[in-house]
Amino acid sequence: MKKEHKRRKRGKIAVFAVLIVVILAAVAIVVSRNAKKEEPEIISLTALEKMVDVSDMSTFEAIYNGIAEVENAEDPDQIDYYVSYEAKVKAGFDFEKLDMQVDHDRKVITVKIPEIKITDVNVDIGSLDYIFENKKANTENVSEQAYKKCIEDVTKESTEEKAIYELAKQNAKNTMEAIIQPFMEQLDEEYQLQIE
Amino acid sequence: MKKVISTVLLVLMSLSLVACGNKEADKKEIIPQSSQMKSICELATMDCYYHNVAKYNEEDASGIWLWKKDRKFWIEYAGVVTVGIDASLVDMEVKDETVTITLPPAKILGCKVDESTLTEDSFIVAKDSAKVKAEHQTAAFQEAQDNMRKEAEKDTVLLASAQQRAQKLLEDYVNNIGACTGKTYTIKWVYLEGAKENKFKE
Repeated sequence: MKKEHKRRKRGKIAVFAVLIVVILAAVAIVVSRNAKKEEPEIISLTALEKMVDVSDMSTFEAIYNGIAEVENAEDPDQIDYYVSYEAKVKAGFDFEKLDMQVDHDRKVITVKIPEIKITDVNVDIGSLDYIFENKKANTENVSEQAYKKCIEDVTKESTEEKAIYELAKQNAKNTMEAIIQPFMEQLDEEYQLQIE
Repeated sequence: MKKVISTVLLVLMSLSLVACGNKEADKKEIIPQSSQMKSICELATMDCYYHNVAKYNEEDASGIWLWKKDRKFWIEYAGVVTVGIDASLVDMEVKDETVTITLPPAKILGCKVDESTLTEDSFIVAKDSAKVKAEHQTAAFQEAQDNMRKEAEKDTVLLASAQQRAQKLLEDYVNNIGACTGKTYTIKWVYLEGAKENKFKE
Protein backbone atom coordinates (compact mmCIF):
# COMPACT_ATOMS: atom_id res chain seq x y z
CA MET A 1 0.00 0.00 0.00
CA LYS A 2 2.84 2.30 0.96
CA LYS A 3 4.76 1.33 -2.20
CA GLU A 4 1.71 2.05 -4.33
CA HIS A 5 1.38 5.47 -2.68
CA LYS A 6 5.09 6.27 -3.34
CA ARG A 7 4.79 5.20 -7.00
CA ARG A 8 1.76 7.47 -7.50
CA LYS A 9 3.58 10.35 -5.82
CA ARG A 10 6.64 9.91 -8.10
CA GLY A 11 4.35 9.76 -11.12
CA LYS A 12 2.64 12.99 -10.10
CA ILE A 13 6.02 14.71 -9.69
CA ALA A 14 7.11 13.54 -13.16
CA VAL A 15 3.91 14.83 -14.74
CA PHE A 16 4.27 18.13 -12.90
CA ALA A 17 7.88 18.44 -14.10
CA VAL A 18 6.86 17.76 -17.72
CA LEU A 19 4.08 20.37 -17.43
CA ILE A 20 6.58 22.97 -16.17
CA VAL A 21 8.90 22.18 -19.10
CA VAL A 22 5.98 22.57 -21.52
CA ILE A 23 4.96 25.91 -19.99
CA LEU A 24 8.56 27.15 -20.05
CA ALA A 25 8.94 26.09 -23.70
CA ALA A 26 5.71 27.90 -24.61
CA VAL A 27 6.86 31.06 -22.83
CA ALA A 28 10.25 30.85 -24.58
CA ILE A 29 8.60 30.57 -28.01
CA VAL A 30 6.29 33.55 -27.37
CA VAL A 31 9.14 35.71 -26.01
CA SER A 32 11.45 34.90 -28.91
CA ARG A 33 8.70 35.72 -31.42
CA ASN A 34 7.96 39.08 -29.78
CA ALA A 35 11.67 39.89 -29.64
CA LYS A 36 11.92 39.31 -33.39
CA LYS A 37 8.99 41.68 -33.98
CA GLU A 38 10.63 44.46 -32.02
CA GLU A 39 13.84 44.32 -34.01
CA PRO A 40 13.14 43.67 -37.68
CA GLU A 41 16.29 42.33 -39.25
CA ILE A 42 15.77 43.75 -42.72
CA ILE A 43 14.37 47.28 -42.25
CA SER A 44 17.18 48.58 -40.11
CA LEU A 45 18.97 51.92 -40.24
CA THR A 46 22.26 50.27 -41.23
CA ALA A 47 20.61 48.37 -44.08
CA LEU A 48 18.87 51.53 -45.30
CA GLU A 49 22.07 53.58 -45.16
CA LYS A 50 23.85 50.96 -47.24
CA MET A 51 20.98 50.92 -49.69
CA VAL A 52 20.77 54.69 -50.11
CA ASP A 53 24.31 55.12 -51.36
CA VAL A 54 23.40 57.72 -53.97
CA SER A 55 26.46 59.94 -53.74
CA ASP A 56 26.70 59.87 -57.54
CA MET A 57 23.03 60.83 -57.87
CA SER A 58 22.94 63.77 -55.49
CA THR A 59 23.41 66.44 -58.17
CA PHE A 60 20.96 67.67 -60.78
CA GLU A 61 21.60 69.69 -63.91
CA ALA A 62 19.80 72.84 -64.98
CA ILE A 63 20.21 74.50 -68.36
CA TYR A 64 20.85 78.21 -68.12
CA ASN A 65 21.13 79.87 -71.52
CA GLY A 66 21.06 83.56 -70.71
CA ILE A 67 22.00 87.09 -71.71
CA ALA A 68 24.59 89.24 -69.95
CA GLU A 69 24.67 93.03 -70.26
CA VAL A 70 28.08 94.65 -70.49
CA GLU A 71 28.21 98.32 -69.51
CA ASN A 72 30.60 100.92 -70.82
CA ALA A 73 33.63 101.15 -68.53
CA GLU A 74 33.59 104.97 -68.50
CA ASP A 75 29.81 105.46 -68.46
CA PRO A 76 28.08 102.57 -66.63
CA ASP A 77 24.64 103.90 -67.63
CA GLN A 78 25.43 103.02 -71.23
CA ILE A 79 25.36 99.43 -72.49
CA ASP A 80 28.26 98.50 -74.77
CA TYR A 81 26.82 95.15 -75.81
CA TYR A 82 24.62 92.21 -74.90
CA VAL A 83 26.10 88.74 -75.02
CA SER A 84 24.10 85.53 -75.07
CA TYR A 85 25.63 82.33 -73.70
CA GLU A 86 24.83 78.67 -73.10
CA ALA A 87 25.57 77.36 -69.62
CA LYS A 88 24.92 74.35 -67.40
CA VAL A 89 24.35 74.69 -63.69
CA LYS A 90 24.64 71.86 -61.20
CA ALA A 91 22.61 71.92 -58.00
CA GLY A 92 22.82 69.27 -55.32
CA PHE A 93 23.17 68.34 -51.68
CA ASP A 94 25.96 67.05 -49.48
CA PHE A 95 25.33 63.31 -49.38
CA GLU A 96 27.21 63.00 -46.04
CA LYS A 97 24.56 65.22 -44.41
CA LEU A 98 21.62 63.03 -45.45
CA ASP A 99 19.67 62.24 -42.27
CA MET A 100 17.75 58.96 -41.95
CA GLN A 101 15.73 57.68 -39.01
CA VAL A 102 13.75 54.46 -38.52
CA ASP A 103 10.95 54.45 -35.95
CA HIS A 104 10.03 50.77 -35.46
CA ASP A 105 7.19 51.55 -33.04
CA ARG A 106 5.36 53.87 -35.45
CA LYS A 107 6.74 51.96 -38.45
CA VAL A 108 7.94 55.15 -40.11
CA ILE A 109 11.16 55.77 -42.05
CA THR A 110 12.11 59.45 -42.18
CA VAL A 111 14.62 60.85 -44.67
CA LYS A 112 15.72 64.48 -44.37
CA ILE A 113 17.35 65.94 -47.46
CA PRO A 114 20.00 68.57 -46.67
CA GLU A 115 20.01 72.08 -48.09
CA ILE A 116 20.37 72.27 -51.87
CA LYS A 117 23.26 74.36 -53.12
CA ILE A 118 24.67 75.38 -56.51
CA THR A 119 27.75 73.21 -56.90
CA ASP A 120 29.03 74.04 -60.38
CA VAL A 121 28.53 76.53 -63.20
CA ASN A 122 29.90 75.92 -66.68
CA VAL A 123 29.63 78.41 -69.57
CA ASP A 124 30.33 77.18 -73.11
CA ILE A 125 32.73 79.80 -74.50
CA GLY A 126 31.94 78.70 -78.05
CA SER A 127 28.30 79.66 -77.64
CA LEU A 128 28.78 83.44 -77.16
CA ASP A 129 26.75 85.65 -79.50
CA TYR A 130 26.57 89.46 -79.48
CA ILE A 131 24.35 92.46 -80.03
CA PHE A 132 26.54 95.57 -80.03
CA GLU A 133 25.07 98.88 -78.89
CA ASN A 134 28.49 100.53 -79.12
CA LYS A 135 30.33 99.32 -82.24
CA LYS A 136 33.66 100.46 -80.75
CA ALA A 137 33.32 97.75 -78.09
CA ASN A 138 33.77 95.08 -80.76
CA THR A 139 37.50 94.61 -80.26
CA GLU A 140 39.86 91.62 -80.28
CA ASN A 141 39.53 91.31 -76.47
CA VAL A 142 35.75 91.32 -76.43
CA SER A 143 35.25 87.55 -76.03
CA GLU A 144 37.56 87.41 -72.99
CA GLN A 145 35.64 90.18 -71.24
CA ALA A 146 32.29 88.78 -72.36
CA TYR A 147 33.10 85.30 -71.08
CA LYS A 148 33.87 86.67 -67.61
CA LYS A 149 30.64 88.66 -67.63
CA CYS A 150 28.69 85.54 -68.65
CA ILE A 151 30.14 83.54 -65.73
CA GLU A 152 29.26 86.39 -63.36
CA ASP A 153 25.76 86.61 -64.80
CA VAL A 154 24.93 82.89 -64.66
CA THR A 155 26.37 82.55 -61.15
CA LYS A 156 24.30 85.46 -59.85
CA GLU A 157 21.11 84.60 -61.71
CA SER A 158 21.14 80.87 -60.90
CA THR A 159 21.91 81.46 -57.21
CA GLU A 160 18.85 83.72 -56.99
CA GLU A 161 16.56 81.43 -58.98
CA LYS A 162 14.31 79.55 -56.52
CA ALA A 163 12.98 77.18 -59.19
CA ILE A 164 16.41 75.57 -59.57
CA TYR A 165 16.51 74.67 -55.87
CA GLU A 166 12.88 73.53 -55.76
CA LEU A 167 13.24 71.24 -58.78
CA ALA A 168 16.53 69.81 -57.49
CA LYS A 169 14.90 69.06 -54.13
CA GLN A 170 11.91 67.41 -55.79
CA ASN A 171 14.24 65.28 -57.94
CA ALA A 172 16.21 64.30 -54.81
CA LYS A 173 12.97 63.29 -53.04
CA ASN A 174 11.91 61.19 -56.03
CA THR A 175 15.30 59.46 -56.11
CA MET A 176 15.05 58.57 -52.41
CA GLU A 177 11.51 57.30 -52.89
CA ALA A 178 12.58 55.24 -55.91
CA ILE A 179 15.24 53.53 -53.81
CA ILE A 180 13.37 52.93 -50.56
CA GLN A 181 9.66 52.60 -51.41
CA PRO A 182 9.66 49.48 -53.66
CA PHE A 183 12.02 47.68 -51.30
CA MET A 184 9.91 48.59 -48.28
CA GLU A 185 6.65 47.53 -49.94
CA GLN A 186 8.08 44.08 -50.59
CA LEU A 187 9.54 43.59 -47.11
CA ASP A 188 6.94 45.13 -44.84
CA GLU A 189 3.95 46.98 -46.26
CA GLU A 190 3.11 48.49 -42.88
CA TYR A 191 6.15 50.80 -42.95
CA GLN A 192 5.63 54.33 -44.25
CA LEU A 193 8.18 56.61 -45.86
CA GLN A 194 8.41 60.32 -45.04
CA ILE A 195 10.80 62.47 -47.04
CA GLU A 196 11.39 66.03 -45.87
CA MET B 1 -1.88 8.73 -15.34
CA LYS B 2 -1.85 7.65 -18.98
CA LYS B 3 -4.48 10.29 -19.68
CA VAL B 4 -2.27 13.03 -18.21
CA ILE B 5 0.79 11.90 -20.15
CA SER B 6 -1.12 11.75 -23.45
CA THR B 7 -2.50 15.27 -22.82
CA VAL B 8 1.00 16.58 -22.18
CA LEU B 9 2.30 14.96 -25.37
CA LEU B 10 -0.61 16.40 -27.37
CA VAL B 11 0.14 19.88 -26.06
CA LEU B 12 3.82 19.47 -26.95
CA MET B 13 3.05 18.32 -30.49
CA SER B 14 0.56 21.13 -31.02
CA LEU B 15 3.13 23.68 -29.88
CA SER B 16 5.76 22.37 -32.25
CA LEU B 17 3.27 22.31 -35.13
CA VAL B 18 2.16 25.88 -34.44
CA ALA B 19 5.78 27.02 -34.38
CA CYS B 20 6.57 25.34 -37.71
CA GLY B 21 3.36 26.61 -39.30
CA ASN B 22 4.08 30.22 -38.40
CA LYS B 23 7.62 29.99 -39.73
CA GLU B 24 6.24 28.89 -43.08
CA ALA B 25 3.79 31.81 -43.08
CA ASP B 26 6.59 34.27 -42.28
CA LYS B 27 8.55 33.13 -45.31
CA LYS B 28 7.58 35.44 -48.18
CA GLU B 29 9.22 35.13 -51.54
CA ILE B 30 11.11 38.34 -52.21
CA ILE B 31 12.21 38.66 -55.82
CA PRO B 32 12.55 41.66 -58.16
CA GLN B 33 9.15 42.64 -59.52
CA SER B 34 8.25 44.26 -62.82
CA SER B 35 5.62 46.58 -61.24
CA GLN B 36 8.19 47.92 -58.79
CA MET B 37 10.63 48.57 -61.63
CA LYS B 38 8.00 50.60 -63.48
CA SER B 39 7.41 52.67 -60.33
CA ILE B 40 11.15 53.25 -60.04
CA CYS B 41 11.33 54.45 -63.65
CA GLU B 42 8.45 56.86 -63.07
CA LEU B 43 10.21 58.29 -60.03
CA ALA B 44 13.50 58.50 -61.92
CA THR B 45 11.93 61.08 -64.25
CA MET B 46 13.70 64.41 -63.82
CA ASP B 47 12.24 67.90 -63.98
CA CYS B 48 14.96 70.20 -65.29
CA TYR B 49 14.96 73.96 -64.98
CA TYR B 50 15.47 75.31 -68.47
CA HIS B 51 16.39 78.95 -69.03
CA ASN B 52 16.69 79.84 -72.67
CA VAL B 53 17.16 82.62 -75.21
CA ALA B 54 15.00 82.78 -78.33
CA LYS B 55 16.59 84.77 -81.16
CA TYR B 56 14.48 86.55 -83.75
CA ASN B 57 16.25 87.80 -86.85
CA GLU B 58 14.40 89.00 -89.94
CA GLU B 59 16.54 90.41 -92.73
CA ASP B 60 15.40 93.49 -94.67
CA ALA B 61 12.30 93.76 -92.52
CA SER B 62 11.61 97.41 -93.29
CA GLY B 63 12.77 100.37 -95.42
CA ILE B 64 13.94 100.43 -99.04
CA TRP B 65 17.26 100.10 -100.87
CA LEU B 66 20.05 101.64 -98.74
CA TRP B 67 17.66 102.30 -95.85
CA LYS B 68 16.65 98.69 -95.33
CA LYS B 69 16.65 97.48 -91.75
CA ASP B 70 16.77 94.02 -90.17
CA ARG B 71 14.48 93.17 -87.30
CA LYS B 72 16.61 91.68 -84.57
CA PHE B 73 15.72 90.92 -80.97
CA TRP B 74 16.29 88.30 -78.28
CA ILE B 75 13.89 86.99 -75.66
CA GLU B 76 14.94 85.41 -72.36
CA TYR B 77 12.49 82.94 -70.84
CA ALA B 78 12.42 79.97 -68.52
CA GLY B 79 10.51 76.73 -68.22
CA VAL B 80 10.64 73.13 -67.11
CA VAL B 81 11.65 70.17 -69.23
CA THR B 82 10.68 66.71 -68.00
CA VAL B 83 13.09 64.01 -69.10
CA GLY B 84 12.96 60.31 -68.38
CA ILE B 85 12.17 56.89 -69.77
CA ASP B 86 8.74 55.58 -70.73
CA ALA B 87 8.01 53.18 -67.84
CA SER B 88 5.44 51.25 -69.87
CA LEU B 89 8.23 50.02 -72.16
CA VAL B 90 10.35 48.67 -69.30
CA ASP B 91 10.21 44.91 -69.05
CA MET B 92 11.79 42.38 -66.71
CA GLU B 93 12.26 38.63 -66.48
CA VAL B 94 13.76 36.67 -63.60
CA LYS B 95 15.26 33.25 -64.33
CA ASP B 96 17.07 31.67 -61.39
CA GLU B 97 19.55 34.37 -60.41
CA THR B 98 19.62 36.20 -63.75
CA VAL B 99 17.46 39.28 -64.17
CA THR B 100 16.92 40.48 -67.74
CA ILE B 101 15.79 44.10 -67.94
CA THR B 102 14.59 45.70 -71.18
CA LEU B 103 15.26 49.41 -71.20
CA PRO B 104 14.00 52.08 -73.63
CA PRO B 105 16.01 55.28 -74.29
CA ALA B 106 15.32 58.46 -72.30
CA LYS B 107 13.24 61.07 -74.05
CA ILE B 108 11.65 64.45 -73.42
CA LEU B 109 8.37 63.63 -71.69
CA GLY B 110 7.17 67.19 -71.20
CA CYS B 111 8.06 70.80 -71.85
CA LYS B 112 6.45 73.89 -70.37
CA VAL B 113 7.39 77.55 -70.70
CA ASP B 114 6.75 79.58 -67.56
CA GLU B 115 4.88 82.57 -68.96
CA SER B 116 5.53 84.61 -65.83
CA THR B 117 9.21 84.76 -66.83
CA LEU B 118 8.28 86.74 -69.96
CA THR B 119 8.31 90.39 -68.96
CA GLU B 120 9.28 93.64 -70.66
CA ASP B 121 12.84 93.06 -69.45
CA SER B 122 12.93 89.72 -71.26
CA PHE B 123 13.20 91.47 -74.63
CA ILE B 124 16.55 92.76 -75.88
CA VAL B 125 16.08 94.69 -79.12
CA ALA B 126 19.13 95.59 -81.23
CA LYS B 127 19.80 99.32 -81.48
CA ASP B 128 19.40 99.57 -85.28
CA SER B 129 16.58 97.02 -85.52
CA ALA B 130 13.33 97.62 -87.39
CA LYS B 131 10.43 98.26 -85.06
CA VAL B 132 9.36 95.26 -82.97
CA LYS B 133 5.56 95.02 -82.70
CA ALA B 134 3.28 92.76 -80.64
CA GLU B 135 2.83 90.36 -83.55
CA HIS B 136 6.60 89.83 -83.77
CA GLN B 137 6.78 89.19 -80.04
CA THR B 138 3.92 86.65 -80.26
CA ALA B 139 5.63 84.88 -83.15
CA ALA B 140 8.92 84.85 -81.24
CA PHE B 141 7.22 83.48 -78.13
CA GLN B 142 5.56 80.71 -80.14
CA GLU B 143 8.92 79.86 -81.62
CA ALA B 144 10.48 79.92 -78.16
CA GLN B 145 8.04 77.26 -76.96
CA ASP B 146 8.79 74.99 -79.92
CA ASN B 147 12.46 75.78 -79.64
CA MET B 148 12.73 74.72 -75.99
CA ARG B 149 11.60 71.17 -76.80
CA LYS B 150 13.89 71.00 -79.85
CA GLU B 151 16.86 72.27 -77.84
CA ALA B 152 16.18 69.75 -75.07
CA GLU B 153 15.82 66.90 -77.58
CA LYS B 154 19.22 67.79 -79.00
CA ASP B 155 20.81 67.72 -75.54
CA THR B 156 22.31 64.23 -75.62
CA VAL B 157 24.09 64.76 -72.27
CA LEU B 158 20.78 65.48 -70.54
CA LEU B 159 19.11 62.45 -72.13
CA ALA B 160 22.04 60.17 -71.29
CA SER B 161 22.06 61.38 -67.70
CA ALA B 162 18.31 60.63 -67.33
CA GLN B 163 18.70 57.12 -68.73
CA GLN B 164 21.72 56.36 -66.57
CA ARG B 165 19.87 57.56 -63.47
CA ALA B 166 16.98 55.19 -64.17
CA GLN B 167 19.37 52.36 -64.96
CA LYS B 168 21.37 52.89 -61.75
CA LEU B 169 18.19 52.93 -59.64
CA LEU B 170 16.99 49.67 -61.25
CA GLU B 171 20.38 48.06 -60.70
CA ASP B 172 20.40 49.16 -57.05
CA TYR B 173 16.90 47.76 -56.56
CA VAL B 174 17.87 44.31 -57.88
CA ASN B 175 21.11 44.27 -55.87
CA ASN B 176 19.34 45.35 -52.67
CA ILE B 177 16.73 42.59 -53.07
CA GLY B 178 19.61 40.17 -53.63
CA ALA B 179 21.50 41.37 -50.57
CA CYS B 180 18.38 40.98 -48.45
CA THR B 181 17.62 37.43 -49.62
CA GLY B 182 21.23 36.24 -49.79
CA LYS B 183 21.27 35.96 -53.58
CA THR B 184 23.69 37.42 -56.09
CA TYR B 185 21.71 38.46 -59.11
CA THR B 186 23.31 38.95 -62.52
CA ILE B 187 21.66 41.72 -64.52
CA LYS B 188 21.40 41.38 -68.27
CA TRP B 189 20.40 44.61 -70.03
CA VAL B 190 18.45 44.59 -73.26
CA TYR B 191 18.49 48.05 -74.83
CA LEU B 192 15.64 49.15 -77.06
CA GLU B 193 16.54 51.26 -80.11
CA GLY B 194 18.44 54.41 -79.10
CA ALA B 195 19.15 53.30 -75.54
CA LYS B 196 22.49 51.56 -76.12
CA GLU B 197 24.32 54.82 -76.89
CA ASN B 198 23.36 56.25 -73.47
CA LYS B 199 23.99 53.19 -71.32
CA PHE B 200 26.19 53.45 -68.27
CA LYS B 201 29.30 51.39 -67.60
CA GLU B 202 28.14 47.98 -66.34
